[in-house]
Amino acid sequence: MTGEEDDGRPSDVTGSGPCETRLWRSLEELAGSEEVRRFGGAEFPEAATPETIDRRALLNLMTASLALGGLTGCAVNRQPWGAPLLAQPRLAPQHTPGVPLIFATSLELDGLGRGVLVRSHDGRPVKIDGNPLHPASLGGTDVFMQAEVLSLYDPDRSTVPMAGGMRRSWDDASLYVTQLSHQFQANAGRGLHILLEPCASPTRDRLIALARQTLPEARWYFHAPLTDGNTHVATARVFGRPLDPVLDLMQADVILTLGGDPLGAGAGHIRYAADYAQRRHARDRPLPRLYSAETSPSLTGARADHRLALPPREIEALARQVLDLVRNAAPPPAAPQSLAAIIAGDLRRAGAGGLVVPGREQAADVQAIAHAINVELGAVNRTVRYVEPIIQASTDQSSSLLALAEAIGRGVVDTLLILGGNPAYDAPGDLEFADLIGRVPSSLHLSYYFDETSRVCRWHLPARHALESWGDLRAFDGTAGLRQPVTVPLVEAMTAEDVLAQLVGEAGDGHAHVQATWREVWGEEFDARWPTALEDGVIAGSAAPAASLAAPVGWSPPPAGPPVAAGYSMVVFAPDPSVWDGRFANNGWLQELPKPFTKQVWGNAALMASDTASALGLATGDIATFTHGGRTIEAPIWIMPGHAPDAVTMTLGYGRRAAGRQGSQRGFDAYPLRSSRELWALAGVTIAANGRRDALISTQHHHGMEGRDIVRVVPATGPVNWPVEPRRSMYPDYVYDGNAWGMSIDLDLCLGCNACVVACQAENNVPIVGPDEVAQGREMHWLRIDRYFAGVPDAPETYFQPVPCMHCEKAPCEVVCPVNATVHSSEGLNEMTYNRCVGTRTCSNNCPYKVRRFNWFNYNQKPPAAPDAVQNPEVTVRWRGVVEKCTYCVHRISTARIAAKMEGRPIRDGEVMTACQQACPTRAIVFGNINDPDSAVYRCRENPRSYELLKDLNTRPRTTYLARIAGLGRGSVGGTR
Amino acid sequence: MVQLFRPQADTAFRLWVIASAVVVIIVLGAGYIYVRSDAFWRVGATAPMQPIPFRHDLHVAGVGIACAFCHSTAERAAHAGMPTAHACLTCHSQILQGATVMEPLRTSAALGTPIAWTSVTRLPNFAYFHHGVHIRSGVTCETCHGRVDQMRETEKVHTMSMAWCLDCHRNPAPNAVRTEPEGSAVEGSRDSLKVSEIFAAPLTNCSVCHR
Amino acid sequence: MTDSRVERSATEAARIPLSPRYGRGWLAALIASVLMVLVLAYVIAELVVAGIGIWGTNIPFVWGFDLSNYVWWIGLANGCSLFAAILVLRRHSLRTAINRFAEGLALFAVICAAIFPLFHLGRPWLFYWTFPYPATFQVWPQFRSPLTWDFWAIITHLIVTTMLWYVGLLPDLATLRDRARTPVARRVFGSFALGWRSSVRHWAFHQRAYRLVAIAVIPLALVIQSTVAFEFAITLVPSWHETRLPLHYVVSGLESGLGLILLAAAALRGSLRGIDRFIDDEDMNLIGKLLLANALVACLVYAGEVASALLAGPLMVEAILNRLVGHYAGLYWGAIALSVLLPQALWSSRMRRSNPAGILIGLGVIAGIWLDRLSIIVGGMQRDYLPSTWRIYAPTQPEWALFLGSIGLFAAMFLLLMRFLPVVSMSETRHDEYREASS
Repeated sequence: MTGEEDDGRPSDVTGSGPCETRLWRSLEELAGSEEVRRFGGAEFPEAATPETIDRRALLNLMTASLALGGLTGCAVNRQPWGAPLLAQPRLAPQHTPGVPLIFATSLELDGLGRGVLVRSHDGRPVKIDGNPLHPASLGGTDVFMQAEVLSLYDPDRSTVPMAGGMRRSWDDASLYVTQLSHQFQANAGRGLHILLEPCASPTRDRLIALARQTLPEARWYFHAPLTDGNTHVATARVFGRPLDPVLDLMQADVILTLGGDPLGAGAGHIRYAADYAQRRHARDRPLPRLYSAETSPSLTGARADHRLALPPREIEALARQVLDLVRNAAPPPAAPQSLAAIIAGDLRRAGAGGLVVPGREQAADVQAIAHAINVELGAVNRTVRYVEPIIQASTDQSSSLLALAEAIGRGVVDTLLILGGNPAYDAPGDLEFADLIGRVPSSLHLSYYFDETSRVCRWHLPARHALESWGDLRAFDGTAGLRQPVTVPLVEAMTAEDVLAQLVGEAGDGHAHVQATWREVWGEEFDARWPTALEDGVIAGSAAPAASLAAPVGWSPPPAGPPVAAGYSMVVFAPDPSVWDGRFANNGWLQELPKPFTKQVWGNAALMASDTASALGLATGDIATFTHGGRTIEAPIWIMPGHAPDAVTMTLGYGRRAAGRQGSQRGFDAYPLRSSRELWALAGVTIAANGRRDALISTQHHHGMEGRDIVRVVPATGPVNWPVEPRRSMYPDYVYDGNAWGMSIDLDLCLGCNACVVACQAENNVPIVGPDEVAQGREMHWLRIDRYFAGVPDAPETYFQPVPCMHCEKAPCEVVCPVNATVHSSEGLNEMTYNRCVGTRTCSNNCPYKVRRFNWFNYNQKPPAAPDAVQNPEVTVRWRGVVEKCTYCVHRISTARIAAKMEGRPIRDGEVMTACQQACPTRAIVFGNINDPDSAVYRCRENPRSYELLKDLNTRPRTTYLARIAGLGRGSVGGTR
Repeated sequence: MVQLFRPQADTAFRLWVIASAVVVIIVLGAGYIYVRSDAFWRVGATAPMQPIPFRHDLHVAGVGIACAFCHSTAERAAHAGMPTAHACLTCHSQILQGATVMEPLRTSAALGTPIAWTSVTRLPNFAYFHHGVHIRSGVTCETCHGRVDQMRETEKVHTMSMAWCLDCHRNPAPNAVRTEPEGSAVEGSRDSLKVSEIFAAPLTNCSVCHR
Repeated sequence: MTDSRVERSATEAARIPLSPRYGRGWLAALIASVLMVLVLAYVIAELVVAGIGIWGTNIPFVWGFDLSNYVWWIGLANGCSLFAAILVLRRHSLRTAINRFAEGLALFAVICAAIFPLFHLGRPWLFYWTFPYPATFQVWPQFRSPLTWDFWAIITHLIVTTMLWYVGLLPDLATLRDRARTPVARRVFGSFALGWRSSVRHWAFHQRAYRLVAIAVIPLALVIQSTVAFEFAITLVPSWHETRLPLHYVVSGLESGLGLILLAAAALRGSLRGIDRFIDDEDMNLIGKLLLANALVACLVYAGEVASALLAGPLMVEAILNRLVGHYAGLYWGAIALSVLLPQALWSSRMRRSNPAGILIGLGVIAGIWLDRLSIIVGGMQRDYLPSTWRIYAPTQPEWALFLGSIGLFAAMFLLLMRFLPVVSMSETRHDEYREASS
């Protein structure tokens, strides 16, 4: 029924398979190019040696020509002669002013690398997309990758070293660091304690190893609020040593997730989402069956065929039952098959095709049970492979934050270096870590912002942004990728590697450190492999091999602990879908990004089921007091359909006190309630309403489809036949003899992950309007994702529907605009011409999809507007009083058309990719020429699942949807299309 | 009672009415003409102050340098491109090297700072123009920029109003002599409208220039 | 001998409206309304500087107070001018009493109405782009758009209403010229009187012109109300997308006009001593009956609204039910109560003759129609196609200020009219009384 889509294979998608010439460049390739040599030979002293045009000079050149990149201001230029024409002293080789360059590099999240391509206009990075060659991306992205470029230009980032609250020069700072290194090299590092974020960077690991040798007495600690050791504890229990699971969802026929969100968040989720989507549409394979047992709704759960909303302890119970039933095929006790029995049955039938995925927040026992089941099913090395830990940072107790706290308590810490992270904010509340840092005589914090930790440390050094620095990162599957700067450092700053290098006295800059690392690895192959690795951003064949497991004995879990007393006392912590662990708190794109389920923006809330809330006498918006062990926080309540009873979910990362102008004092901070013993689930919390209310800001206020034909769902088996009404219209049809652009969105593949929304915002200069304006109902997103609940409130079906402009064939907006500002193009686009718009807004009145946005104020100039530097020069920056909307990325179409014209050929299918399409990890969005029977979008429209939104209105949208395929429900493997 | 108005008052009044009508018509007509005039669009005006008194006539007509030598990206990119200081210095490191008028050039080369030329033909920010595709479609430099080779001071020779753009976008044939590249899908055609029909949208779509 | 009496009565008639004794009440009222005009000026400045974000509008409620107030003012204007024109054409005795200020009210209402469509634009300074003129960017208006039609509607309305008022005023200007004391006033009135000498020829021309303009007003009023209605009826919004909307607007617009006339007449009778000789009980009686009749028609229209919606598709049903019982139900029922139920009081002739009752009912009807407009525009917008976009709209202070400011402007203009021009037509009065006398 489905599956004609040829998507999933990234190389086809970007038209840049390894066979073809690469889309993107490496700086060194540019720097080492012929032009540069010629410069070197030229008669100008400062260009005497080729070395003088290094990356930095090159980037300087490109950045200098930034003015030509067209920082399109909001109004026509004031002075009569327009902006000046800048004549550069020298052009960067292979760089044509105004023509973007694309660089491959790696970004980090939770210490793991994700390969990206950065599009840079005249030395100005403006857009990030996935690297099709990188296993953790396959060309797809998530919201954090997309938004990283805005953080680069964050005006609130730290720019100068600080000491005791005073601004210091870099000379002072480096002097201090040098003193440290001398002092500790003298005493072998006694009294030196270093706190790092766990990070899978070979170079960092090498430097740490070096430092451990040169400073044997120094103590090393690793802390990140979201990466605790549970995974390794669990694998150690089952396999005897810590391992990391790497999933292969292409092979999985039956999947059981115990908490977590493998498709939506966490290690490798972009890849997993892509694999799962591809498997769903592999015609020759049966539909995979996905069971999700989870406490709070996740994207995976929303996608699941059968979702169970269970509080943590019941998840554990379920896991134990399933393990037993999988182990001994004894007939289940209960005559009516218990759910556990059904799941176990499915898993047994699936055998090696079965897979159990534990969430990182699950107790070590639960995770261990999950791995045990995988072993039992023989799924190891089929649907899941276990590899040696990707993040080298040892996770034993001696290097935990707890240990550091004790050390400080004992007073043995003379000097504390905190290289990255923000423990004063995100350490578990019971440690009182901010106070502890204060007790350390000499402390230094390296960070991107002058944040909570920087304020309590003696010294603060500004850190470089990932897009400004060299480095290397290993992905969730061990594949290593290089990180290269794509812009000159916008401020003088250091990386953690720089500091470590200084400590061990290794000379050179980040570039040298990374090269040193890979020289060790590659030996004499280095010169041959480095350039390609740098250009690809990926080091081929560096994926971690499956660990050889000594035939694991049938590990059985310890007996379950005493049952927790039932009651509304279980608080579960989760990373926030918008600001993650709090590091993105000052990022306007992410703050204004509606969270997938609540559609809340600029804040967070404590999610609970309606029964729980009513039992507590709470309603959405009420502020409640949560108390545990003398620690108290206040949080507004959000009644979440599909949330497990007897539990409350709090997302971390909000309530920042020193995040910056946009991020501070938003939402509530859940870290103080967190306990260093139980990081994820806290029992015995007392909850009391305190009578106050909080105005929670959300972009969607009605959650049902009111029985309307909005999101269509078709049965997994059997044909689809919808009635076809005749089309009638009083106006003659347009004829399209050239291209006719159209888009198809597959609701069966869409996970609701929001990547497309941020991608659209980044690509099209969509303004950030701020919480007050969103509360007013004025968010500007060109592409929104509607979320509907269907079925019973306790266990609803959740549907996501991305809604861009429909580019109607019979567009209602066109006929009502008095000034012809929005018109129909000869390629069927519904074009919006901002400079003609007078702002009657009647087009929005007449748009049944309500996709049109209006600039009520001069949003691009008033805070929290994105800085000019991040604006895409290819797209007009809109000004006050004009309507705007999705254009199908018409500037990309223009670019492709111009390229085609200049090469005297038609535009190829797949040559034009919209920003949302490019960002989508599951390739749910297909765009192209619907006149071309060979185009992917044409095939999508021919698909029987294809339908038009609000078809009755006869607007004939160019954007069509592919109906979602109904879940298989429970029981009996199988179900084919 | 005493006569308030003289007998001619009626005539005067009528004349006044007619006169005011005429004035209105004249004002409107004048406005219509003015917004189409060269003065309004600064045609023929030259930039008041350029960092260097550069003379196209000497370089193009005199020395015989081709446009694309200095404006090197005009044939392939949106921006025509301004000559780099190093490009200028290929000659001017010998010729006129000591001249004070060349000071900005030397400064630029030495300090790596760009030279800010005053732009004579500048489109508003919401209009996107691509030099390359126009040249590729057979629009010559002088079609829009005039006989720069005869200009002592560079001046604007066309209004560059939207109407002026549209004249050609509606009927490119007179100004666009398109020759197809080797192995192109279509045979050479004088009428680039036909070409654009084959390859792309008609040139009058708003999104051709406004994004 | 009759002539002498007629002369006396006529001069008396002429003196009354301009009697120097206007007293503190008038001054206080004028000051109050001028202050409101200042508020209006401030808000408009704020709009132009900051942008219309200072309003409570959003997506999907892109229109709120701006358009509903516009529709309301236009309704008032049309009601007044239509009513006046009919009186002129029928040579009805009421016209002596009503026409002058009816025409004035119409003119002022149009001026107030024109404020809103202009300043509701995102970029008001570009309003002229809706006018087809040969621009150098060679783009023309979208003639299929009702908003383009509306541009013409407002201009035409302004011109015709002004003419109706001015033509009617001509003979009185002549009288004023003759009675003016200072030479300046004499010249001013004189030039505006266009050399009127009350010759028979003048009268003949004048009557023809007056009636011609009046004839022009009648279709115009209907056309303009329909054009305004089209701005909503053309769109896909379920509760707007109805062919009956123009009828609704004409009927309720006329009712609000009558309400305004009743209000003004009663107010004048209350404030200007002696004027009840010219706006007498019989006149009030007639106005009252007309308003009552119109209210009954409006009642029919309201019923038709619900009926036609209920007979239409499920979306329409949901939309109308939402207007009746939803978040904005108050607006709807307020409209019903004030514009349909309240006028029923006019069944009693005592009510029709009492000034306080007239003022109260007039105000009530006007307010009712205002609520009706708001209910249609805001309440009607609340339920459309995709539930994910449903929201709430609430006006902000600037919107209220703009609304009250426009009322202030209206009041100020009317007060000045009262002061400096005769509020009842001297010539017509003279004409009628002469007929009475000679009969």
